[in-house]
Amino acid sequence: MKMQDDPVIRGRGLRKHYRRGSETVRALDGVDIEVRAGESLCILGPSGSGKTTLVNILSALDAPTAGTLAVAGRRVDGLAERELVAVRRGVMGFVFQQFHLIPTLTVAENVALPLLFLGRRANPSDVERVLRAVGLADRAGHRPRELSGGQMQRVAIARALVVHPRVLFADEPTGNLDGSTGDAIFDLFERAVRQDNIALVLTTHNLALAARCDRSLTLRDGRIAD
Amino acid sequence: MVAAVATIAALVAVIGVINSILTSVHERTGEIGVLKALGAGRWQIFRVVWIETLWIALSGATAGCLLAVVGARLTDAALRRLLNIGVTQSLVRITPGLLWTAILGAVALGLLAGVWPAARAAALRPVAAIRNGE
Repeated sequence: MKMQDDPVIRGRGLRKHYRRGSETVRALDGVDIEVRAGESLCILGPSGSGKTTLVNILSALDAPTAGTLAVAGRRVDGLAERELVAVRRGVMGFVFQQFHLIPTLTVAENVALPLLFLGRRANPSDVERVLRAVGLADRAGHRPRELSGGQMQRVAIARALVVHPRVLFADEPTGNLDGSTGDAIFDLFERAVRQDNIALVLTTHNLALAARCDRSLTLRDGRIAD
Repeated sequence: MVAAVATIAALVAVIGVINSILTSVHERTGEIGVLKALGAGRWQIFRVVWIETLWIALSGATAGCLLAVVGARLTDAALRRLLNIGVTQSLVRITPGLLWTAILGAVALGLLAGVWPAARAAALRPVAAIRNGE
């Protein structure tokens, strides 16, 4: 494992409070967290404990109401959405529980999407490389509806990896998959962490998957419980 | 009178296009959120929706022009049958210039109609959009 000293993600005192009617919801309540390159971190916790909120904030998809967040050494809390887009591009990859592939595009086109947003021409060899890495090179011309759940998640992982991200966020990536398919998906994450020195931040309810991560933390009521 | 009818028709068309694109944006809220998470900027989302509006306007204008040409010929034939007035020239005449004006006008109106839905799509926040789309 090639862990580096400087964290890719560093959050201090992260809070996310919002009003719901007359009540203040403390979705996240003072979380300190660091994630380093070449490290996998699992976030556990019951539903509503703040796992997804934490991942959304760490990945600059959502803004904390208080606290500081640095991505690759750069403070990003308080940045405007336009600047956050620039932070996400090329630095972060995303894998969602519901896969979120674009149904009208082929597998190869889905994988190439982040490259287009980076302003790069979609290089077929880049797309082929990641599709080969996830074992779906022969499915490049297929549409998502022609794939199984496990295959769709592999495409989502290929889409996340095509930009060589420094950190990969996966929110319940195996939640819609059976056990053995989930294990195979985690093998792909593990390979990305070990071979490409990517930091992985993953949420799950699956304790067996959590045990395979380098570190895990449990959230309860928006706070780290252990 | 003709100008008034044309203006009302254009307004109805613009409202129709805005409504169609807003519905399309609403149905694809989650998809737009994912695109933003993957790195799409505001202008990139705006452009996608705007180009889609342009295609709708262009397709509608082309179909409308084809219908107008066919309709004019049928009307011409019907008039000749009903009113035998001995005129040999076309009674209903649609010139290429008129067709081009109609197509360009429809495209211009389509581009105008697309601004608001495209701006709304571009302004969506990724987390809220993904959550709403699930």
